[in-house]
Amino acid sequence: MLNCKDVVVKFGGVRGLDGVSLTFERGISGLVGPNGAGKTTMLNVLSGFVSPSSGRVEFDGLDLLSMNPTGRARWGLRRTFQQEQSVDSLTVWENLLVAAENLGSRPADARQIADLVGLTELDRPVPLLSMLERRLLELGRTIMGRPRILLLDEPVAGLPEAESLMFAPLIERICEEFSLTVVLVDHDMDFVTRACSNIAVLDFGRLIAYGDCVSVLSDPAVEAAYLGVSNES
Amino acid sequence: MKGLKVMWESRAKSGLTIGLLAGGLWALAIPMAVDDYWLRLLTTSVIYVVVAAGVGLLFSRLGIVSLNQIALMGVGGWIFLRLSYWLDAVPSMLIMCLAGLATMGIGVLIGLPSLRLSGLSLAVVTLMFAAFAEIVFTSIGFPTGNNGWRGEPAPGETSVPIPSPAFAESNTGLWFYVVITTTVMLLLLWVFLTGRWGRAWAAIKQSEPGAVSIGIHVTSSKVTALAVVSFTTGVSGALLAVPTGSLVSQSFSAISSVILFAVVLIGGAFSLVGAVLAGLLFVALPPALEALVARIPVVLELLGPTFTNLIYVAFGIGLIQSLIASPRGIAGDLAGVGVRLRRAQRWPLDPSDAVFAFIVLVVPPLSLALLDLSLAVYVVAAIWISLWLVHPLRTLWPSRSPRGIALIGIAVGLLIGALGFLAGPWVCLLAALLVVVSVNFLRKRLARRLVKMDEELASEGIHAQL
Amino acid sequence: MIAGLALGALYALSGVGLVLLYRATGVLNLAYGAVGALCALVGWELNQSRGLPLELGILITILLTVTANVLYGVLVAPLMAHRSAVVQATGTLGLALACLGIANWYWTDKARALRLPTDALRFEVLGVVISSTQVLAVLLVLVVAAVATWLLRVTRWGTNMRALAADRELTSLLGVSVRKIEALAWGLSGILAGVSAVLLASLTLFSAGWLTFLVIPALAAALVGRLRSLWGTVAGGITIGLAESLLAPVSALAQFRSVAPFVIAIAVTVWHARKRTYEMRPSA
Repeated sequence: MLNCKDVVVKFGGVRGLDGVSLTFERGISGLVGPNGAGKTTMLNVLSGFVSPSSGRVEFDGLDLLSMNPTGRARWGLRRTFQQEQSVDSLTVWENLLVAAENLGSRPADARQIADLVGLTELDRPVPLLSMLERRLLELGRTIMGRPRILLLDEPVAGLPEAESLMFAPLIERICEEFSLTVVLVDHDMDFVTRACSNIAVLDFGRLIAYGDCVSVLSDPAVEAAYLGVSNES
Repeated sequence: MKGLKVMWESRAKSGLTIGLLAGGLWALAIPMAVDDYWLRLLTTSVIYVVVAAGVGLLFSRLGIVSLNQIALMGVGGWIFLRLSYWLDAVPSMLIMCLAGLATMGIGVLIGLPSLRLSGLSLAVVTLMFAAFAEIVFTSIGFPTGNNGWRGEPAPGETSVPIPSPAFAESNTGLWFYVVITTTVMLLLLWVFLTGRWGRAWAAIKQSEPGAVSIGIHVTSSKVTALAVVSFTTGVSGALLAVPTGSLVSQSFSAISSVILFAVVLIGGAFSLVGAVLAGLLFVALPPALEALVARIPVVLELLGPTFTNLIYVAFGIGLIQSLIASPRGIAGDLAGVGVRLRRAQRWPLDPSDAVFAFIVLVVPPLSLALLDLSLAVYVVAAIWISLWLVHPLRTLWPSRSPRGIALIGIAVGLLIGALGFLAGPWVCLLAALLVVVSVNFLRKRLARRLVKMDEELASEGIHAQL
Repeated sequence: MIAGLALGALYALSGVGLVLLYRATGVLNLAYGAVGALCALVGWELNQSRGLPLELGILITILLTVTANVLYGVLVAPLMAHRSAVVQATGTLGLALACLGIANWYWTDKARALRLPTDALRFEVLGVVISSTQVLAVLLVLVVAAVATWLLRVTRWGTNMRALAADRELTSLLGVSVRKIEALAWGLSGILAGVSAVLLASLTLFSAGWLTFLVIPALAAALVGRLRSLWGTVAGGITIGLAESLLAPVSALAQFRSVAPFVIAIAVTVWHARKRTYEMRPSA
């Protein structure tokens, strides 16, 4: 159970997050909102790249804010970025290996994870991969060692519809296999509703709705802030 | 999994084997081919190859600009000289390692605080350390075999050089000693580069947040790189002190650290070949130019006796040029030629990379060692001209078999080489230039026509689909 | 003490030139001293062997530093503008090497004497002899720092410069002529480089190698100001100058007094490095 309490982030005079309190249960939760709502800032706070000016972040009673980003990654809090971060100068296998080595996993486990996400021909250099393969590689790198929390920042951005469809079941399988708490940020509402059981909606740094897909999507506040806009356009 | 790992390691190892083989042959050939003066100069160049490789590693793998490597070399040399006076019973190899370790400590101490800030502050702080070290070296000097912690002769006493080991008596012995030690140091860098740390560095270079998110400790990874490089640099500084048992502070000026950085970028920061080139540019180019210009009185009169300073200008411009246009330096450009050649066709350069490496890296030193020097130069020229020609000829006659093209290329290369041997170097150079330029010119015109044909074909294809 | 104050003021003046350029263009100009040295040598040569009046020589020196700086800033620096700050700074090292090479080739590294008319104008305050060059140096740095602060804070040029340093492409999209602003910044920093080279040559030693490494104390001063604050830089420069002059009477340490900038810079770096910050912009 990942628990955020009154998280405030200030960028100069602007409040990126304005007192957000919410709890992500085990399983896949979505985090959505219009541009600039604070979704990525939220992930940055959770993974330690941004320090909140006040508030608490706990996982099963453990204070996450006391660890630095590297420490959090080693402990099991993993994340992806909007721009995927595979190392171009290494091969697929070396990319998996470098994650395994630093996240306390053995090469044999890295091999299993390659099978799990469905990567083959591991000796190819990364620049030759398709976008789908790069996204799969990125996912594989985040679940080395002993993952506990997975933060996915637009994991299917840049993928064609047909390919992003196969991502939801994969994330579900991974979530079950490692019994993870997954937070998924995406613009693609179809994808989010397919993958997630719960959805949190942010707007202007505030939490405006949180609950299961059906109730959130029919929430008038959400309609007004986010979906209404996108329906009109 | 195992197969994969073995395959990767074997690929990396085959590169290493070729490198060691070629390097070993060059190392055997050079003492036979050059006289004592040039052998001493080349020995010094080889020592600086390690330092250049370290600077290149930091810049190419981590984007770190370290401007104090020559100063650290001086630190290593200073500690080595003092330790070898105090511990005269201990083998010098061990003392070198101790000096390297001490240098490592100092290098890390300088780098650690600024590494946490930014790359820019590391560059600035290291530049300051270089200036600082220059002042310290000039005012306290390098120790000789006298008493006291500074080891300088008291008034009235004469300075006693530290006795150099027996192997350093002969120039050839020293050459092999230096080559072996530097090889060990380069292997050390190689082990780090291809292992776990090298992969972590690659991840950091790609993106620091990305590296952090897979549990890499950015600062300690960078410090590790700094530590390894400082160690090898310290050992090279000690190596510099071995032959004469003394050092002079002029060798470790602040500006020389900057010049070293420039030649590393010009030579190529990404590869060992680049480091070798950098070592040669740094040590051997100024005396080579001096020797050359001394034979041409007109140029000497025009430029004056201090003309070697103009090399700085060339290095400065070269540094800017490398940063802007040629990030992999001369070595990268050469490797690009190799890659293009290998892609162009299979036969003369494959079955395996080893054949290519053999032709380019092994035959020249072999012929240098076995043949008369003047003949060997033309053999080397013939090989290189053949290789230069094969690719352009292939595009000129796409219908010809690769084997035939290669034979034509080799025949022309040999012809030009023979012409040079009979008629002199200028004729050889001119003929080679003429042939290569004209073939390339023809090829470009042809390529333009081919592109046009391709476009026409493509548009026809589209029409057919519609 | 007074000498230290004047020296510190010159370090501060150079530091202000560095910070001004860095804040406007994002380039830390490591060739700052070398360009000044080369141009001062040209001015000196014109004065000594061509018989030009000294004032004209100095004017030419300053004009040359401006020209050299602007040429680099307009022709070379934009080619590296999209690279990291450390690469851009490394590029200026190329310029430094080239300038130093030319200076050492034509003039060798021999020390020379440059006498300014203000040197002769001396007066005594409380038993200490002060030359008006020293007074000039101190006054100049205060005026320049004040003017530069005003320039950056208040004028439109200053706002544009600060925008430019933050994001070059975005600023050009806003309709600001990036090249013009950059040329202006390089030119202003060139004036400061020329002036401080001439004053430093007269107050201390006039040799290419020495003036090239003028950039070291100036950099240390700029580091004290975190490469941002002009007044922090002024304070840093003056501290370094004073530290050097206070070390001079202590005979055991006198020969090491030039290490003061390094020690201060290391101390400042350690102080600033207590907390690690993350660059949250993954490279493309």
